[in-house]
Amino acid sequence: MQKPALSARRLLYSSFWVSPLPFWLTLFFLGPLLLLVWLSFWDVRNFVLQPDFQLDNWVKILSANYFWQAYGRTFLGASCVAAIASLLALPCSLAIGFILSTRAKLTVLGLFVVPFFTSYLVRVYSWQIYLTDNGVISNLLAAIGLETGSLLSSKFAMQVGYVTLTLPLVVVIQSISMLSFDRTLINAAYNLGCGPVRVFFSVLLPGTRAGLILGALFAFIFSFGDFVSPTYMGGGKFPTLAILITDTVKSGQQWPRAAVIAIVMIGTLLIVALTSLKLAYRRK
Amino acid sequence: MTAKIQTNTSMQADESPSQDVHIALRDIRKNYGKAVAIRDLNLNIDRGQFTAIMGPSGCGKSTLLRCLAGLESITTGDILRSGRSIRHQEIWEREMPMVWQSLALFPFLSVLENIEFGLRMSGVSKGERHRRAHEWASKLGLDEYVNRSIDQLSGGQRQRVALARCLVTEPSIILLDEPLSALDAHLSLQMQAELKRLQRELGITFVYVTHSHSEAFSMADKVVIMNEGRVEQEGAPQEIYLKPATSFVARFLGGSSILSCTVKSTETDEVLVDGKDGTFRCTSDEFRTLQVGSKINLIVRADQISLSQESGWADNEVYCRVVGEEFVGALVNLQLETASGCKIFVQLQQRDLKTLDIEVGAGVFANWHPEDCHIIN
Repeated sequence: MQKPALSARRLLYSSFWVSPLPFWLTLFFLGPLLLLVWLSFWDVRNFVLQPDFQLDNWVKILSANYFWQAYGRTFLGASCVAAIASLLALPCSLAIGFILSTRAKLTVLGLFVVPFFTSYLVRVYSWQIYLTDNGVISNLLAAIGLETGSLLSSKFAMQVGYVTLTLPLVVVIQSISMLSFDRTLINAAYNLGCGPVRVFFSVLLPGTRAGLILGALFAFIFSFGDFVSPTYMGGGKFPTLAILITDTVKSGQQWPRAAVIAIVMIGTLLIVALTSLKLAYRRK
Repeated sequence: MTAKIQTNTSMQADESPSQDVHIALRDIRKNYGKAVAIRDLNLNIDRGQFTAIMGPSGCGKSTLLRCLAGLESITTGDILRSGRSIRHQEIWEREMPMVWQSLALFPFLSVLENIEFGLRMSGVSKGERHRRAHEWASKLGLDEYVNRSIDQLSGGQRQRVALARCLVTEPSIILLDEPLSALDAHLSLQMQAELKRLQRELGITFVYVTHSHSEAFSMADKVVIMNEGRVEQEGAPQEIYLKPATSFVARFLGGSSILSCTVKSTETDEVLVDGKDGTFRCTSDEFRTLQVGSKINLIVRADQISLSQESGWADNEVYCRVVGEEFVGALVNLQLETASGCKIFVQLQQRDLKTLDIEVGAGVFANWHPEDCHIIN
């Protein structure tokens, strides 16, 4: 079927509303990205950036052991956060989607938006009170005979930071897909001899797949590039790609090498995001 | 087990189908807080029969179906299936698959996976359930679509998937909740014929909830008419059509004129009743037991009233004014009004209307025979 041609006025009207998008995308996404790629071929001589076209930065970074270690650590860490945040969020979004009254739903969802009001840095600092040597948690553990010392500067603390960052968002994304799930499908499954446990695995999870995957994806994206948690919760002891970038820049103005790392990160995120989206919206 | 039930059905059907009660509803009451959805309802659903439950919105017909399926618990009363109570049975144990008004197909599964869902839940092996799902898909003309996703199907095709999903487990009963309401008129007619054919061939019990007269009357062996949570009348479609038991049923089905009258004399074979617009003669049996002076509602079906320009055509007549006309194919539905404001409905062939030369606003005599008068509560 051929679409009817838009009249000139309607075309003008719609292009008025659409025009900011390509403009902003070019100015703030495509432009900087191209600049970054270009920068990755530059040279640094005597701590000064020199425009050039050489592959040295790429070779150095991609053949460096420390880079791949950091890459593995970051990727694995972000995957763990995606899994942990998704699992922690699931009971909550199930309650919001299927159990709570309309009023309670809105209240709980509202509470999950509140963390966005405060800076992430502030929230991470407040965790330090709990996790430090004489913090609330180590004191409590000491009371039952577990001497832990400081829980800060550990992988555990880093995960706590990541989850702090991502959990509210994952809950909101999951809840949206739970709320838009057609409850009749659950009754239909019961009606066809499917018990409550199987309904969860055979109907509810596949039916809300898009929300679950998108929630996990956002947790991955946010923690993959996060600089705050590895720095303040991990104490910089576990260099992730974000820390590597700052270190590379600080040590000898190596902007081009930092650009290489950044491009690899963007590439990874694009692949992960596209794969997830494909999984989320795959048709049977 | 299903096969046994089916042979039973055919055996019983030969003898006395009406005595084989599949589902018995006993004194069912369903309250939602203070609101009463179903009140003290008793109903037998016969095995292997097509039972249509109809009534206006909010009459409790859908609630009744949900209680049957176990989606709602009943407040008091009992539901017996082949004599055994299923009141406390969980939904997933009831084996009464339902065709939902919204169809409720699983959008994340393919057509084939939707059809075989019930089999998968009852632990049928993969090969076997594929075979049976394919068999049903082909019975319902879905062969080419089995690997499609649900959103790639048309309304009629989705309808068939929903049906196949119910029938694939070979249940002894299926429930249908206004399944055709989303289809256009042409497709709905086609599906009606198909549903009836399937029901006859399979010999299983269909409980069909609808608000559409044509659906209920064209398919059902038994029609149950509900109002305000009660059964107003149940019986064969023809029986209900010919003799509506209550004025609610008559009004709900439409096309009948109701005249309130007082019995004047019962002396001869003929009973005379006085109405606001004249005295009418009635000869059907149901008038025999009446007392002089008792008040009754007289009902006459639209197709049993004829019109004439002059008086004296039949034993009963009343002078009316034509207030409305509606053309339905070769038929015309006329709405008349007597001097006292009572509404008379008449159905005529178009050609009769032409010879009579009647138009809206004209005066005319409505005539009917004494044996076509019935009493209604």
